[in-house]
Amino acid sequence: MTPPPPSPSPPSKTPPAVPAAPPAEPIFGIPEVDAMLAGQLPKGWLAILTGPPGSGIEILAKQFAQASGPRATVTYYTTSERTEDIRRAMRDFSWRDDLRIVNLSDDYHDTVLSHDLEVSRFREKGISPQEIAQFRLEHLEAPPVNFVTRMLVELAALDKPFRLIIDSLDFFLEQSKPSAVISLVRQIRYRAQRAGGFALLTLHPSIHDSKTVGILDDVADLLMDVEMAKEHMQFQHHLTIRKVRNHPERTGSVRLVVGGKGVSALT
Amino acid sequence: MAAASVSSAVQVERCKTGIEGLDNILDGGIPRGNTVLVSGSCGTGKTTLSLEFLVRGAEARERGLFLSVTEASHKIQQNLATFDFFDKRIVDDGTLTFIDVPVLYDKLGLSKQEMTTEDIDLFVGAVAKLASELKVQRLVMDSITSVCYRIRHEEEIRDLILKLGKSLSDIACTTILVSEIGPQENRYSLYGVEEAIADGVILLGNVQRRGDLLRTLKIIKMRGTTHSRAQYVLDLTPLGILLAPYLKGGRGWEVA
Repeated sequence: MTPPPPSPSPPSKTPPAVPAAPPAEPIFGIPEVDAMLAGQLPKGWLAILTGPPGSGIEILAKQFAQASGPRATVTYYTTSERTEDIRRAMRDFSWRDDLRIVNLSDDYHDTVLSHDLEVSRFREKGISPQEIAQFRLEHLEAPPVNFVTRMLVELAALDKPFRLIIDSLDFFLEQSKPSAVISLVRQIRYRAQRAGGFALLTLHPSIHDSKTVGILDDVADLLMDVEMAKEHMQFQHHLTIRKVRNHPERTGSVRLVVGGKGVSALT
Repeated sequence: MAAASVSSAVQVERCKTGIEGLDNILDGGIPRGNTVLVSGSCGTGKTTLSLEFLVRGAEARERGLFLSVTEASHKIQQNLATFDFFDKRIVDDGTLTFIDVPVLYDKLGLSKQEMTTEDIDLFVGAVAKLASELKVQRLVMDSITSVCYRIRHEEEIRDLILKLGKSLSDIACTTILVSEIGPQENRYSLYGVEEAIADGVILLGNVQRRGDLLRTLKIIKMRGTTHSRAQYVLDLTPLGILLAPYLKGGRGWEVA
């Protein structure tokens, strides 16, 4: 009598953890920066890229999207740019054009800003019987979208290797409580670890409270900062790697320049 | 009461309610431009009385506006259609207009839980503008209590009703503000402020008599006219409201 076959294990809701030996993947495809990380961006890592306006973190975020492996799904969440501007920038540098762009600023406009605009007009000029007759109680707009909740729903669908870019986290911190945004960032990191993904989030730390920024710094595996210095009437940009999880010796700085193929390091 | 000493109906222009019996009690009708609180607990007929006031006005070619705060206005119209006195054509031809106040809140950005002084001014201004542009002579807000829920201070409630009453009185619009109170409260409005400022208070109630729940009506005050202060039985019929003297007698009478 043959023993019964072992019962299959119940299906897991989360994908299995990725084996520890990670293949090498560049961060931005800038050799000098990759060299600082010994050529490897460990799978499951979450990076936060900070810098003041004009520092070029948006173009670095796009270059992070470009540098992904061919099998990874790339999703670019933008909170400030038009979708066509992102695609144009990708084309200008002859980068991959197959990334999925989710334009949260369009959603924000449609659900919040356009309503605010209409409200301002009615508050200023009053509302006429003809205007109010156009609106029905049952057609009142739904409550504003909770963008953190929306991101969490998107994350739940990520079960294959991915690159995820959020440009920028500032939008979420404007819309939601810092604790909710910190929780979202933890969820992104957890998802990246389970599915074998990489995430890059941009942030302008000077506009947020130090406690929030401190916790986010703690959650991130990789912290990078672009600084601008004025020299001879021109700005110079330096990328500093401030934190590499478990490898403090790999921190350092390179000077960046933008050329026809994107951002590169000045050697 | 000074107002009650006004002896002749000819001294004040009247807004005939058109409700059977009520104009007699009011010595000819509500003084035009008055703001009247119609108070009562649930099921006492506040909304029906207010609607009949507007419908009877529309029959006399007086335009009316119903501002619905708590219930969807299309549902109110559905309920109204069950009464024989209602002819839908008065809505179709614009003599009677229904507006959902939550829509007004949304479009004016007043959807927050609490209204500020600026919000109150905006709200009153919007209602006055709608009433003026629609050229209404009768207006009902059902209920003022629901609007007041969103106002924290009594002074602001006072301010709201004073400003609303004045702006509507300025265009000779006679206004009914529906006030929701508990079944056995010793006052006529939830906050106590509304009744003091309104020009008139009509109190609706329930009385149990030998197992029947009778609706009652009493005029507590009405500035600018003499009026009966007796209690009347209010009967809701398909033809509209009928008022009959409340005859005490027998046993088994008690306030519900």
